[in-house]
Amino acid sequence: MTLKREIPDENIQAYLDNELDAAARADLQTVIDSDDDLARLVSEYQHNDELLKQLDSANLDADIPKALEDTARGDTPSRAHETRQDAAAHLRFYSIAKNLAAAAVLLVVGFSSAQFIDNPFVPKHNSLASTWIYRAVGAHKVYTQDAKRPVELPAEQPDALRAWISNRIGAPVRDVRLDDFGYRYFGGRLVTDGLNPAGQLQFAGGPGRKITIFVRRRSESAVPKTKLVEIDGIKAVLWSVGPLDYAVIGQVPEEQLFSIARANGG
Amino acid sequence: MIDKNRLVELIPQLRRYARFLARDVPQADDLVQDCLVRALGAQSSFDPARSLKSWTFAIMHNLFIDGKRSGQRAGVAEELSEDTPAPASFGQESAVNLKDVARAIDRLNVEQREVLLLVALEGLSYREVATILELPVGTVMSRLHRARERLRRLTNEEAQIYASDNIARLK
Repeated sequence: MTLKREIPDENIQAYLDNELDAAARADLQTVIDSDDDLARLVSEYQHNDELLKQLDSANLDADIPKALEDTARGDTPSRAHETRQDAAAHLRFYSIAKNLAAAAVLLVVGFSSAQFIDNPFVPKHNSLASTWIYRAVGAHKVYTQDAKRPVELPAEQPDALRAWISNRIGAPVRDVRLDDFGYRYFGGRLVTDGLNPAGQLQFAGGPGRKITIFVRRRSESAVPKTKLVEIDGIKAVLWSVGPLDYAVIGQVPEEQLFSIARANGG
Repeated sequence: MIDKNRLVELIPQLRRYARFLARDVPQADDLVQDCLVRALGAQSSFDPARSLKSWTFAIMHNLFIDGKRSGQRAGVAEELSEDTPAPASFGQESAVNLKDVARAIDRLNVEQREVLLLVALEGLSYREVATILELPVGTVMSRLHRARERLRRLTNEEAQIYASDNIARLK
């Protein structure tokens, strides 16, 4: 009788993937049928393969950017010869157009609920750039309340997160620490400012006490001075350092938000 | 010349492959865009005897490897190595198996994810995968074994954590 330990692992894989010829498959089938442990192992592999298919096939056709289809069809005569940067910019154009539509909704909702204490960011025209703080506060609301996965990278990888965000927004992000204010860093994620990548760092000061730092690369004039904004009952203090805009956001006393901003270049 | 309609049809699969590699949607779509541009630019070298899917997948793989080498696309994929802990929170009981797999996939390294996708999801033969990855067939098979075995261990681990979490809730 052939024992499981005598069967190379690769043969079991070949069995799973129908890569064995008929005779070899029949031989191995006989062994599997007579070995409960091996049968269980094969069954687990097959079960995981099935789950994998279910997991990743549901949305396979969803939300395909039109830019990709245009490129594949070669609709633009020069498309096949354009540079990577050109192609990426072309793709992002469609992403931006999509974001603009979302931002239009955000503006309507935002106007009804925002109070600008020092009034620096009331959009005077349909400038998407001036709405980034809505995105920042929105990200605060959404992700600090997410019990399952509030962050993409946990606190154990602070440098990885900072490097990732710096890379995506194209400028080095400062190493923000709030330990002196009683808040512990517990991770962060990549978000959007409405047009471009942005970063969110999360800090916890105890049950229900959360602060986020939002950082983005500026595409318009800098925040002239450190400002306080309140949207939907959530306060945010904004400031600029070099090419970056920062916001510290939380339902905490505004003095604390200003102190955190000052400690980080605001 | 390549069939552009067929290329359009392949976009969903190219995006899935890119997401398995990059684990980041914007980066993945950049990768797909690069792949399409490269494919159209190199279509005169396409051998009609070869499958277009296999050929574009090979382009995608090489673009990703080149990006990694130049440090442009390392992204988070390399940070989520085998040592990355799984988040200790769980969803609805009815979906736990899928969630177990989803979490476990995130904990595989990129080589393991890649070979699993190409074989288990895309249904490519070992020989096709070996051509795409420019590896011997034997290496593909051993890499596939490590990927499936690690996935199996991780999903069991996730399921056990879930089970103990449920017991804790009952007390």
